[in-house]
Amino acid sequence: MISLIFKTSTQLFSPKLVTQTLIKRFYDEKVIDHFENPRNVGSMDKKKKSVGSGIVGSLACGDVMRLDIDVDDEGVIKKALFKTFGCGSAIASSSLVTEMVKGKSINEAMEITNSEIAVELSLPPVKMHCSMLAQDAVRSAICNWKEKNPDHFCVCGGDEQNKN
Amino acid sequence: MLNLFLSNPTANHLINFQGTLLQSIDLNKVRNLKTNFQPPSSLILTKCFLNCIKKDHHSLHHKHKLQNKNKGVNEPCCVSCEKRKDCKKKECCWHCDQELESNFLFCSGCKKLQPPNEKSDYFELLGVEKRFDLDINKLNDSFKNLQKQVHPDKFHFHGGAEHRFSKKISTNINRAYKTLKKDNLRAKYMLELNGISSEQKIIHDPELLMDALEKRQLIETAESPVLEKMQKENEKEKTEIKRKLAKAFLEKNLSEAENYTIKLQYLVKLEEQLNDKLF
Repeated sequence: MISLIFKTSTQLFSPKLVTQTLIKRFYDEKVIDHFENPRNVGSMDKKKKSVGSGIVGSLACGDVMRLDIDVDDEGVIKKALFKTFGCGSAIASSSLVTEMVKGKSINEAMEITNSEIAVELSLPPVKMHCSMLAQDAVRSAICNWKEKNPDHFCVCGGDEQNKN
Repeated sequence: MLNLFLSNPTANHLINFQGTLLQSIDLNKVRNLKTNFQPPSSLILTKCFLNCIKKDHHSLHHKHKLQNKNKGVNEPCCVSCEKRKDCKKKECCWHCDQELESNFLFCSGCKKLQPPNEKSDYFELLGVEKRFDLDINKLNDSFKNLQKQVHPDKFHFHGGAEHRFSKKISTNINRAYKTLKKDNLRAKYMLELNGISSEQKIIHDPELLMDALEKRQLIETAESPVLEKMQKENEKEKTEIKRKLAKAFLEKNLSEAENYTIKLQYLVKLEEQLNDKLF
């Protein structure tokens, strides 16, 4: 009887279960997934005409986020790669955004908002600036591609400071 | 002047809790006159007060007095202000009604701790010059001296009001010290004081960011000698940027100050990463 109680209590308070519960309280599962298994890490050759490269930073935490997109002749994003130095939420936001833009046209990708990213990853208010950063990274990459391909008519989201 | 009184129902005198004789009143006469009794403005007597001998009951009286005092914002704040015709509604002590000096922590008359001053900024709170290149040693000394005076541990037995004030003041001082201690946080705070908010700001400078990215990548892969060299270079750059930033703030050149603050933030972040890797 006593050994049974002891066994169940150790199972209840096993380290693995405790840490899992703690992690769930502080980070969403999807954020942990993107952090441990990030999708589409890397960078592309900036000199290629079909590649748009955007790089943004946040003053609040000193993070850097780089996003490269490969666009085909019809204005559809074939591939996207990212490189981010920052917190788990920033890495998850950029990893998610590379998956979101794949297969979208330039105009559709331009309309991705930070709230979509934040809702998908259940970001807390203190990490909202990470999703803003990801949104700006996409728009910066698209504007860079448009500068290289001015014959494709599109509406730029307003990134006047981004000079190549 | 109001003081805490301890009254003994059998005594005929009113003495304050320090034991000095303040006023000699025939309490028996006062008790008999309960119904028609009109207390003078400088002395507040209530039914329970006369019979009370417990200390905690006195702190309850004190709370009532405090609540009454903080009622109207536009009313004169104290008795001495009411009497003075040229009252400019200066701050008065909550306990003894004496006028307070500016940047007050304690009343000069009764030495009681005053409520926190919400209008002062971090520099005024810690008593340091309002410039970017302030003396860090002076800041540390000032912080320690202030906490020695206002830490809540010193006010446990001083009654509810002072203890509450000390908790708020101590928290404010801690927050101010943490912000002013770090260069990048101090720079961002000074920009905020000048109306430039940096919380939501996103940076698009490709040169700076590519450089930061490459350096961060290098930190991940490189060996110790390379990292130590990077550390020294980073330190040099940081000193240079801090000098320029101090100058920009003095000249009130806010756009330049903003640019240098951004650069400083990235240098500080790089320094943190290098320290983590090397130690």
